[in-house]
Amino acid sequence: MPESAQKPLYHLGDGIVLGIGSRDTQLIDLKTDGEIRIDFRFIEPLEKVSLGWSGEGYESFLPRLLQEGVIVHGPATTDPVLKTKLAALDRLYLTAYEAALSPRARRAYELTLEAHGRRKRFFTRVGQCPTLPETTLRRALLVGDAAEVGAKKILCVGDDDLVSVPLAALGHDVTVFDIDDFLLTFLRDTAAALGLTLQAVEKDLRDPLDDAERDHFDLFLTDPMSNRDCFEIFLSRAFSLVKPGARGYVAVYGPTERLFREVAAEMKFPIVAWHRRHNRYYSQYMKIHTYESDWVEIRRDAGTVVKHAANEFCVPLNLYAEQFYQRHPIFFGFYDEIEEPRFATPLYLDMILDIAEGNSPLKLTARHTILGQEWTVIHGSTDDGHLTVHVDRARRQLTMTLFPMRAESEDVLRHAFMSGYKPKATQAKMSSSRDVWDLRIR
Amino acid sequence: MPPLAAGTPLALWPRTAVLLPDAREPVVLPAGCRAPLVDWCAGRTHEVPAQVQSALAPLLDDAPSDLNRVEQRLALLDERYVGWLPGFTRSRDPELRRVRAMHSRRKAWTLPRLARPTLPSSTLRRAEIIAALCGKKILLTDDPDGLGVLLATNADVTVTEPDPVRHHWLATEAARENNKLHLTTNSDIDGLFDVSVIFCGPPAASAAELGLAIRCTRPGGHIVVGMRLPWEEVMLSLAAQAGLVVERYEREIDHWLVPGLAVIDGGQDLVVYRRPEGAALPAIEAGVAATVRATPHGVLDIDSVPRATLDKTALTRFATLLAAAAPAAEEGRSLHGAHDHDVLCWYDSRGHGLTAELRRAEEHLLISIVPFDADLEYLALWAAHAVLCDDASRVRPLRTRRADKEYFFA
Ligand SMILES: C[S@@+](CC[C@H](N)C(=O)[O-])C[C@H]1O[C@@H](n2cnc3c(N)ncnc32)[C@H](O)[C@@H]1O
Repeated sequence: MPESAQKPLYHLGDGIVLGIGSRDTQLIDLKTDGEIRIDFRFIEPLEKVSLGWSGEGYESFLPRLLQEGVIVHGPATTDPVLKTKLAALDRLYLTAYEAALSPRARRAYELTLEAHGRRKRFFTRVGQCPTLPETTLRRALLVGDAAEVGAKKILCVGDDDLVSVPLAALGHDVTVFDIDDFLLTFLRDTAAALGLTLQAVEKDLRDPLDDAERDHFDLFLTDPMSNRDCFEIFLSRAFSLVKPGARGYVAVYGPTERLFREVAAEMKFPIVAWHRRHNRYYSQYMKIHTYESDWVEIRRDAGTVVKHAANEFCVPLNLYAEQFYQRHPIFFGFYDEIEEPRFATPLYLDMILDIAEGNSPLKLTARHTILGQEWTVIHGSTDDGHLTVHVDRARRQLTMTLFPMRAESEDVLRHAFMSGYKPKATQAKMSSSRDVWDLRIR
Repeated sequence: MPPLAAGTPLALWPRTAVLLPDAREPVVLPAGCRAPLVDWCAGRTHEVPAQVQSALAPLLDDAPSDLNRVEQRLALLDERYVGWLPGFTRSRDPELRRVRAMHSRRKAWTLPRLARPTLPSSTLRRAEIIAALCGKKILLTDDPDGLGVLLATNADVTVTEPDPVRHHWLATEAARENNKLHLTTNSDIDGLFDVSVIFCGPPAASAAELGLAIRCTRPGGHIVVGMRLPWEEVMLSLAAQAGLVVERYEREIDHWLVPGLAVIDGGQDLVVYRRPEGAALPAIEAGVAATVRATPHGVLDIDSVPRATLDKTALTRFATLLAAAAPAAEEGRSLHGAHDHDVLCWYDSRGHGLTAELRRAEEHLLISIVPFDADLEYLALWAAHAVLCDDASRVRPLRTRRADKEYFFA
């Protein structure tokens, strides 16, 4: 008898998700934006409880977790907090096309949202970063409704995006291959809960394929990491698993189009259509990722060759690395209402840069001044980037741009600018994203 | 020589005319060419004067004007950027062809004012949303891509368009379709409209647009705003303070086009507000310093620059185009090279300019505009596309950071 029939079950409370990263793991409370670091020993039981679990072996922890609302009684269900947040993100894009959806497509969407709302554990360590439910739906709609295009045998090569859900809802025969056994259990449970049928198979794509699996599917979908190794492995496996002539859809990060076209030329598969900016993703914080990707339709041709033979192991170096440029942050410092604009002339600005060069790692290999009536620009090249200082004496505003952002140099420059031009500053606002640091002093 | 015809790829920037040959880099035309070309494109003269024709002759031979090519390119771009939108392109084929044909008959590109030219699919999507609103009297404060002509099929449309070239293009297109399109160069509109379509810009410009819309839209009517980075903060807050009520937020509906027919990734939003009784424009901080304070800087990232153009000479050509196109003359520039990157710093006589760093290993171009200036942003995107990019190059998406009250990126 399964243990669930005997013991009461628990699941993660509403708005609580488990984020497993390559460096650390957190429990995130989306209701309060709170985060708790989790010791690695507790990852496994928390993963289990996120699927609905009796807590066997951890009984002594249960009362406290219950009291703090981390877990609640009952089997796993759709989390209303996640579902509401995801539905709101989806609305940003859905408004553009929901009127065109058939009743079956709408139902497929509802089930997809439901499925995403049940997933409480995020595993960024193997490159998981799911697409929004509405993107997941659009992927399925490009394949088509089985009622119109006929039921297809479809393979999802990795499926953290849960595209198997709308595909099954649209009447297709869907199989998922994934390395992540949690995801597979989650998919099976979810399909059962939503009344859908799909096959979820644990498979590391680096391992050889069984002969029986080959030339089997009509179509595949995959969202590999955008690097050469991952493209080659995922596509080699996919092409071996589908029938000759079969279509496939691959996510490609826009700036790696050139690389992808190289791989296509080498593996001799045609690119049938390139859908730009098709895929939008969300993070475990239920916010939209700034990352987005294209959705590319390809085909297994008679001449298509694989990079990794179906019966061999693959040993990639870089499976989960992204092979595109993550730019260093650029720093902007904006000094508003400067107090002594008459000292904001090239002479003084040069002195400030001299001081900065003397007291920080900043080294300008060339310095150039552009002189206007009321404004001056001093620009310098550094060995790894540049510095531009722009000052407008009439407006009493000074802006400094430092690329890449270097904390030590910025620190010295800021002190010099502050003491020269803003000794009585009353406001400082700093905001930073991965790409831009933005300091405003007034 | 082939006569200069509509469809000839020309850009008439504020101080110069630039020819945009199909297969080569843009060519800045000699100083005397611009004025007669503007006259011709504005319909004030029927022919291009002989001396301009002869200056153009050697360049035109291998830049044949090909209306079909423009339409085909636009069709390809529409398909790439919205071909996947469920139920859209296939069901709109005739309408999309109509917009593309309109684009291809445009004689020249000019510097946009607040709104940016967009893909035909964007224009059509906007037109459909606006046409579905109640009332048939519509005001557009800017129209770089023929939206007014589309709307005028079923409505009484007024467009303010001070640019003579765009004005003439819109008038010709409306006449072709026998449309009721009222064109005026005067932004001093009176009359009451059911719908006003406006755009955001620096704080003072946003306030002026919104003030006009509140004045000219009947209570209960709609104010439709083209919302773009980095001014959505300004406009969203002004509109909220004015008491406007959001009825629809259509994200990333617009894909911007630059001459040479490239798309900038990202997109502008369309917000439909209801104008309630008693809506009133709040006061804003006036002056140039306030404008700069609102957006002191802007950044453009261009990825996947092809290897062939990753060098100093390409950056020099970029500077040349920028200098020719900018609203004010060049004041100074510097160009330095290091082993793995080259940097250009360029400023015009108003003290507006940019720093562009081209990094070879990363195949990346980083442009920072200080102070932020939307004209330079548009021209830099065009110039970069013309001399540094190919079809696989991508601008990192320029997108608004929030819809109404919510920030949704993290
Ligand atoms: C590679 S991830 C990346 C997708 C993600 N949406 C993105 O682009 O950021 C896609 C799926 O592949 C699965 N996956 C990763 N490595 C795998 C492997 N070696 N074999 C099978 N599946 C794998 C992951 O578990 C995940 O569900």
